[in-house]
Amino acid sequence: MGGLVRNPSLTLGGLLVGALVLASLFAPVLSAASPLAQDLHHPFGGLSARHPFGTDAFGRDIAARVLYGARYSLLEAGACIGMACTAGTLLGLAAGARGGWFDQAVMWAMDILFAFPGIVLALLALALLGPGLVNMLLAITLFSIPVYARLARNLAMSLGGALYVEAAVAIGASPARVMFAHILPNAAGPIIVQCAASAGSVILTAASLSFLGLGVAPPAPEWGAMMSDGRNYIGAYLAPTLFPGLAMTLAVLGFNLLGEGLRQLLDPFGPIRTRS
Amino acid sequence: MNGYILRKLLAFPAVLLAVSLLTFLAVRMLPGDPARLIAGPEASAEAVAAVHARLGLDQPVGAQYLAFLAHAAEGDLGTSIESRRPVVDELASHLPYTLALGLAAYGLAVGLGVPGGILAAAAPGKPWDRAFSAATILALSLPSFWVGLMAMELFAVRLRWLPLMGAGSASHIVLPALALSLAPMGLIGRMTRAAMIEILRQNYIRTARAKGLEPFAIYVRHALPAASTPIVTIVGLNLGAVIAGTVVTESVFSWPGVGRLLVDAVKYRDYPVIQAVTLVAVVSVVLANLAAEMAIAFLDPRMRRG
Repeated sequence: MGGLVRNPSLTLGGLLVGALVLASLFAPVLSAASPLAQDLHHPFGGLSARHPFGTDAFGRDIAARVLYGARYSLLEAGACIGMACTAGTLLGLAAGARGGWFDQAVMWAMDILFAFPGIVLALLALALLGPGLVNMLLAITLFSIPVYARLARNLAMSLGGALYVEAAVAIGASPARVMFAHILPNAAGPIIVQCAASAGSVILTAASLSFLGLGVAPPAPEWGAMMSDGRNYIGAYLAPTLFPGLAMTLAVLGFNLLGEGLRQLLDPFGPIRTRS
Repeated sequence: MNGYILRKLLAFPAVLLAVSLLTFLAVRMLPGDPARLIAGPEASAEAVAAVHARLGLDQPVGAQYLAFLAHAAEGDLGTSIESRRPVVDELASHLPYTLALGLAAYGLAVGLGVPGGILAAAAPGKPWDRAFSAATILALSLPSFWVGLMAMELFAVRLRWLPLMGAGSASHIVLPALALSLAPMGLIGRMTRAAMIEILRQNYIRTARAKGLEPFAIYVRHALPAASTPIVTIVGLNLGAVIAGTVVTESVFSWPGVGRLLVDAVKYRDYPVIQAVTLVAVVSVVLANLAAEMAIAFLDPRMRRG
């Protein structure tokens, strides 16, 4: 229990993210209602034992929709960060290891991508690819790459001078072996911290794009899409907007706290890196 | 003017060119024929071809890009497909709203985030620091559009203190500015606090403490001047967060700014508008970073000699 007091961010963040994972896994068990079943005779039902969060404009159970929505959030965070972290880390490690013109070219390209405010680049990519879940994930991945590339490149540069790397080179390890067996494991800490820290902003951006009608399409129980629908009834019915937003705040807060807690654990004096 | 800043200034046109080329190529790759969009669905093949020739779309892409640059240099960014007005006019009528909203929100974010972070760093782990850290991480976690909608429900519908949406009077700006300021406020507050704590860990601060200087004097005379550099960087770097935020906030509050212009342009595939708004957004971010770097060169004596 000592860890709980010493690192409350990690504990609380872990609990919130754990709850998100459990909600995604056990949504069908936790809610008897279907997230898509309409009941047009009972729109905007109040809070009851049968519908704990009430029903929306189509009489769908809001609680079930919020629960199933956890799956979209996890998918968005997992897919985008998985792809962006892999691509960015490989690019950055290669740039840091090879140096020279390759390093210059990669970092210049990353600077250009970095100059685009995140959602503007995502909008440009969505204009190109058309709206939809997969295209949205690709668009968010694209603007998330530079953070990882810069981070991995700087780590490769600073670890490249370490004695154990020099020793590995001296005994004849191949560049690839030095990279993946010696540098990457030691660079993993800060990269993992960055993954947790950017999960929250990925979920926020994805929900924003869905809210704008460019991401996940409405009948799907995605939180941003639910709020996009709910906004039409603001002033009359609050529940369709209130509950998905609350769930989303808790999910994003969970990832932000987890990132903060991991940073304290793995890299206590490191700077805060964020991407808007 | 030192070499570093000079290099950055010289790099600016190159960045501008690269960004314009990127957006230009991106919109050229848009599915569908823009000439077909302009001519309308019922237009004959000849009419579409005529639009092609008028817009120069029958030229090679390289020639099109050079023509685009030449026109842009003369202040002509093309014509909106949706409104059929010159894109420059569209920008001119939307930009003041975004500037007003962005400045109000950024002022709020900087005004609360920077002093809050400085105060929190003075006593890490104490109640004020804990409250501030909790508030900033919450500010970063709240979806701005949801906060906007909840604020509408509370302040406009229930309490009737403020107008619901649109941009008729000065009071219209309050709710969108509040919603938009949250994320940058959280970022700026956290980064300021971290920068300040980093400075207080330095040896010269320890020396000042060891020689028995008042904590207040250490803070104001030794730590704060050193903090000016990271704080200016933080303020300059986070402008992008505000610009990104306007896209969603303006759509929530029907605020007639550039962000909403962009969202509508993406929906209608209004490529000249997408191109122009993207350029404006990127140029403002690059300029803000450049301004921050120049301010740092001025503030930091180590950078002056360069």
